Amino acid sequence: MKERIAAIADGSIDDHDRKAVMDHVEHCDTCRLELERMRETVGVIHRAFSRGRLVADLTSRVMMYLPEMEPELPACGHESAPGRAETSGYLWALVAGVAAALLLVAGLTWLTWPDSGEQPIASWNRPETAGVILGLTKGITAVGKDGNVPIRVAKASYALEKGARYETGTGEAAVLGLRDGSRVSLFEQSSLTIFGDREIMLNSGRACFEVTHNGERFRVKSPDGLVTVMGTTFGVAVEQGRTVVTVISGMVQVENSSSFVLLTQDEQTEMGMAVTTLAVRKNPSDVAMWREKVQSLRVDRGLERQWTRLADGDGATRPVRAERVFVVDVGTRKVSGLRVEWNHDTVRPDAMGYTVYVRDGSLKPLAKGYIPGRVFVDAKSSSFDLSLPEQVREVKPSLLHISVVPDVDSGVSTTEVTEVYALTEP
Amino acid sequence: MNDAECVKRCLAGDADAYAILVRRYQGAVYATAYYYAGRYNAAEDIVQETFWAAYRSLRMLKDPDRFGPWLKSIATRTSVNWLRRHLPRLRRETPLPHRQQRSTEEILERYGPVTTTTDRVVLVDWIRDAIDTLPEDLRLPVVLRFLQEMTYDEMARFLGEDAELTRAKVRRALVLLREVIDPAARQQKDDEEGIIQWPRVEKK
Repeated sequence: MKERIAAIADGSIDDHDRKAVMDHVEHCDTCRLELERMRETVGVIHRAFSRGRLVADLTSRVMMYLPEMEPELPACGHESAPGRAETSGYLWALVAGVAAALLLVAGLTWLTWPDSGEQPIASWNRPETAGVILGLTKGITAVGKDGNVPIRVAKASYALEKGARYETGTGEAAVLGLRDGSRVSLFEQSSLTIFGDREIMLNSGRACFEVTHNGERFRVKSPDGLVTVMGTTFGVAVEQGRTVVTVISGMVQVENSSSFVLLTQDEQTEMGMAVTTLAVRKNPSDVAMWREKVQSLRVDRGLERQWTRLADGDGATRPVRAERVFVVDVGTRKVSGLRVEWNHDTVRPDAMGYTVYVRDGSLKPLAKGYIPGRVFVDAKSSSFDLSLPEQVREVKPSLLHISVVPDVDSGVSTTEVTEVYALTEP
Repeated sequence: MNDAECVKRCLAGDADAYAILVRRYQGAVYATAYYYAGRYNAAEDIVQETFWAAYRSLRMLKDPDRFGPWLKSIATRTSVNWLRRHLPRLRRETPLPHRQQRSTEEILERYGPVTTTTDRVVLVDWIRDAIDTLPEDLRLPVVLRFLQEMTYDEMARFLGEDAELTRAKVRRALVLLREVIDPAARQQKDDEEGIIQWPRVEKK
């Protein structure tokens, strides 16, 4: 009886049986209670599963990345004497098989390559090409830098443009392959702008950056701050007025307007309106989550191979930027500031400003300073003094590790910094 | 078009025929993947991987009429492989296709009883563990039925058994699940079996 009541609650009973059971239930209190409770149980199970249910149609996603079918294995134990008629029959079968296989290959090629495969190569040499879309889940919206007319991109192999903004909606994601061989995984409801080679703004949402090492800094901006790296993997999430940076491997420098920190693997920091001093915390579970998410995205393998080849070939023409590192031995003296000197060559009006990062001997961040670009334009001077904050003076580091990095937003021409001295208190 | 026709047309190079099969079975494969790896949000990936693998080895399918059960075996294998690959990193759990059977007491101790106000996140784990108390052959039918709301004909086609048998399995499973979930039913069962509950000794 219990099982029949279960069948009613489940709705899997034919009308005849149903009527018989319901007639009984009406007169039997125990069974009525049983039915009521069974319905509750079914309701609970339904409620538990309602979130996990598959609602999206995965067909197009599956069809997008079908493999080639494995060839049929030759049949064994074929027992027939070779004769002319049979041979020709066999031959026909073979020809038909080849034709079918060709058709299949053609079908597959069409599925994975809606466009001609040469397209990314053709546009690769254009200076405004920033990379290529390697894989898509559903699609992505591209907003060009001048037109501002959003374009729906529904297929991989689409060339990315410098200055353009790319946005994903709900359930959409994309893998972007940049010119320098770095790869960006853009997750759902996110938006990023590609400014140039190795320079990206994440406006909102989440993205994971796998940056190749080429001696030049890769910069990711967010509304709350700046992340600069040489070559690492890290995730950035911009949401609810804050930015969380999580490092999956390598080392990353994160800075806001007043301070900066260095993050290594499994470390995380948060930037936001209310945060002035950045704090570092360990968070391996978030790292695992990022890894998981990145692995969940698919790319077009053929396209990826093409892109890797192209990105590798780019190395020779990369510009070198005037970034230098100085190590100053201070000993036991108390340092009050730094003097930065440079070669004063022909004056160009739009000199870049320089950011000065100060670390101690073990590379622990101490302070950050800025030399505005106009200082370099001034023909009369060839040095600039920065004073160190009081708390750094108290630390009394014996060794200073100073990186001088051009601020590429502030101008065009670079200046060669020749020397950095420590100014000591008398 | 039935499954066998679709398979034949796929083998002849008609990719659209495979799309029909994907659309027909994605729910079932998803539920299977969810049953194994649902707690790691991996089900959709496993669906993709399963259909990928099935297409690749479609020629190995001996009997095109039994595409469903064949696909089910691939889905199971793909799920288990996924767990083997990822689980050591995700959690220190033993990646086994047959997950550890749980006892009602263990579940109650961990999550407390189910009420109408139970948080949905807790409820999902609760029901998942409750399903693990069922005999092995009843678990997947329950997931197919309640996760994807499949009809018994669809389920039978995927499981490769008679629809009547599937129906009986779900009924049996519901009766058993109720005994786990519903405190009144637990009490009733104990009374029937003449078990007197000892007061539980709290671990110190």
